[in-house]
Amino acid sequence: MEVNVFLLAKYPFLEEAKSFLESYSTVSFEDLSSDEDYVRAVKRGVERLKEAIVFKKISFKNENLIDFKAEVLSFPIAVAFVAALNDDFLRNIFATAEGKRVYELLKRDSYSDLELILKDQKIKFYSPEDPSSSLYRIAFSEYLKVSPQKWGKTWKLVNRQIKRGFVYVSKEELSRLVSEHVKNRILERSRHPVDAESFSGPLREGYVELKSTWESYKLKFAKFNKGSSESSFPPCMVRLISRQKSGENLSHVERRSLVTYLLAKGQSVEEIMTLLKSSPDFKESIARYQVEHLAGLRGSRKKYSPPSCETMKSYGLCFPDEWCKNIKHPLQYRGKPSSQTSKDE
Amino acid sequence: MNGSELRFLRSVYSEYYLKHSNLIEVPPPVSKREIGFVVGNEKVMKRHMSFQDNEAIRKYILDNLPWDAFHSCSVYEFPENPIDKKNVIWSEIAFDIDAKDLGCQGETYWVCDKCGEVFKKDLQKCSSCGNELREVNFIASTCIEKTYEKAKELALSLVEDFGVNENEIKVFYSGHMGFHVYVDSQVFREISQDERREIIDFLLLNELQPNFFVLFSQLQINKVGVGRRIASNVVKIIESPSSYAFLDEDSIKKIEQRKKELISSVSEGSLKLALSLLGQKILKRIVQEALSMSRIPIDPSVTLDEHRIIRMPGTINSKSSFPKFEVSLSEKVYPLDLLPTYGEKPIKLKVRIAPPFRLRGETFKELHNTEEEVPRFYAAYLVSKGVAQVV
Ligand code: SF4
Ligand SMILES: [Zn+2]
Repeated sequence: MEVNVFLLAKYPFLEEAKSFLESYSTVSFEDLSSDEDYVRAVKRGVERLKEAIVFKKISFKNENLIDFKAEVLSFPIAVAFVAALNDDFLRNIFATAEGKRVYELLKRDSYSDLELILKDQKIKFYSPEDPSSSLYRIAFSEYLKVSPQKWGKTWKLVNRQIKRGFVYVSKEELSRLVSEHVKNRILERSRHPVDAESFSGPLREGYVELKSTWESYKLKFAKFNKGSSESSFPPCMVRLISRQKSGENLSHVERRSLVTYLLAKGQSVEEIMTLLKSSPDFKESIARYQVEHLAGLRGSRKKYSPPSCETMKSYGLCFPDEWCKNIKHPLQYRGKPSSQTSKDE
Repeated sequence: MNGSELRFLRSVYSEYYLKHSNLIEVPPPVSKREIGFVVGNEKVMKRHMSFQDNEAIRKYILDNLPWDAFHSCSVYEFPENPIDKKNVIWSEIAFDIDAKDLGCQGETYWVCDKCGEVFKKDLQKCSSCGNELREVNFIASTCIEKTYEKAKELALSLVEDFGVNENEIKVFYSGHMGFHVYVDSQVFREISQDERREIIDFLLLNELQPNFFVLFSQLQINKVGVGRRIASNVVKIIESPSSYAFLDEDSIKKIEQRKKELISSVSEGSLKLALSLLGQKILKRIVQEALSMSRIPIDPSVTLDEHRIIRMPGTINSKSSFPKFEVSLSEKVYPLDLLPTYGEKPIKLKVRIAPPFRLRGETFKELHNTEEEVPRFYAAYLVSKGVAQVV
């Protein structure tokens, strides 16, 4: 099969890129360390990730096309770096940036590559039925999978034209859906465990460099996030909050326990939404619905109260400290008696 | 309910199950589903059971005569484990439409359990003896018919909008005041719990954009998606305008005169003719009415929760002592005429109150503080409602 290498350089996540890379080299990373293409690929891989961290966006320049081998190869290398750094926060930043890049490239080239990507990714779709219509159709299950409703009401299924299992979308909309799909695929790929110890040569150097970039970025971010009154929260909730903040997906029960607690502490729906946004699977409308439901603003209008310590224990979510001794409910937790925060409680 | 009523109900259950145990049917793979029963005089729920096959379930039911029986919509690796350790393999999707969610309460009475008075209004306290009153909701035929229509609309939406095959959809009368629509389709198996939310909103018309009226001002209704439902309800209103109180004599006349043309233009998605004929104000009312008719009021919690257990087809619903059974999607029938036959023999009852009720093609007349011989299956219904005693 004729491979369009420029296309692979533009969209290195394509399935086709994998076979291209396989034919390009059957040797392992280590044996490659002196190969010039490879050295440049690692360099570009490091750059990809740095761009993602700093600019939340990955560049595409035409000279990348000239050095297409390095460009294609830099993508799996960047994914390997992310996997090795093993931090959901970073995974999310990287995948989002790659997704954005796809969207912008598609738009720039007036969507000419759209069908090709759809086919490569095995997404069920139909091209516009006749020249008078410009609407594509995509299987509703694929549509829902990227949960576009988080982008606003017009994306909700209820406001879409849908027929026999297919949702009508414009070229531009379809490109957005595809980019989101790519983002999700990259998130998945970057979850395959990669051991940093196995890196050597240029790869090792790149990894070390990225690790320090990432650490310093996180430090800045953490400072920015300080200042809330979490010091008076019981250990069970502190744990949930920090897991949530690191981008972990909390289970339904965990999220519910945390949200009801924060609501009872007087946090607003908006404040809680800000916290929940760090979930990799964050879906604005669903999360909002759930929070508002728990706050009693929806449906049954019943306000849910946070679970008692006993219930938390039965969920396996209780991690008591010395100030948990005489309490039956997380809301009774006061922490260190001398602490400033307990005064105004 | 005292001992003799309980014994009577059990005998009716037993008769039904002896005759119709073949109707009990858990969808495959039976052994990978959680099964639950309500058993004993205390009516306790036993969950997290599993059975080899439908035969084993039928045997259990015949031996134990449970008050209610359920199966999970999900297929699990370990159906007997606690919820968080069952491991979902896949989930089918179920929709529950209850007459109550259509604003249809059924025939409601308030009875005094102390002196036996019956009231049509909720007086809180019995006016004869001061005892607290108990609310009793009887199944009303009109509610059943309306709810059945909604269930069919839902099935149609699944086919037309979501591309489900008709043979992948089953519609059941729940045994009481509702219908279950059960879907086993590959596309739905792939839908996660969160994604189901969007389907629910689609059916409930939640967050429908107010700019629907922009569409309206362009004088067309999309023939696909929610627009299809709205257009079909506009047609419904045009078909029999006099049954809609908001339409004045004049509009009704105008509609009647050009009904055919109107119907065909609206079916095409165009509101132009309707506008020129009826004017903006009336047309707006019609579209608004059509909009509220287009809501399919499913119970979101049933559809959302993948660990939900749902009433087992072919088993008796203790709220009424009628079984849940499959009904047709296409035929125009009154579902309760199709109630399987059992309990024909009459039994003498002391009845506090029973509104007229149509069952199996027969209308049972109103009863009020009287002794009467009625067929056992109907007697079981009145006993379950707590308004009759075995004499
Ligand atoms: S004892 Fe209560 S407050 Fe303390 S960690 Fe356990 S659940 Fe939380
Ligand atoms: Zn009384």
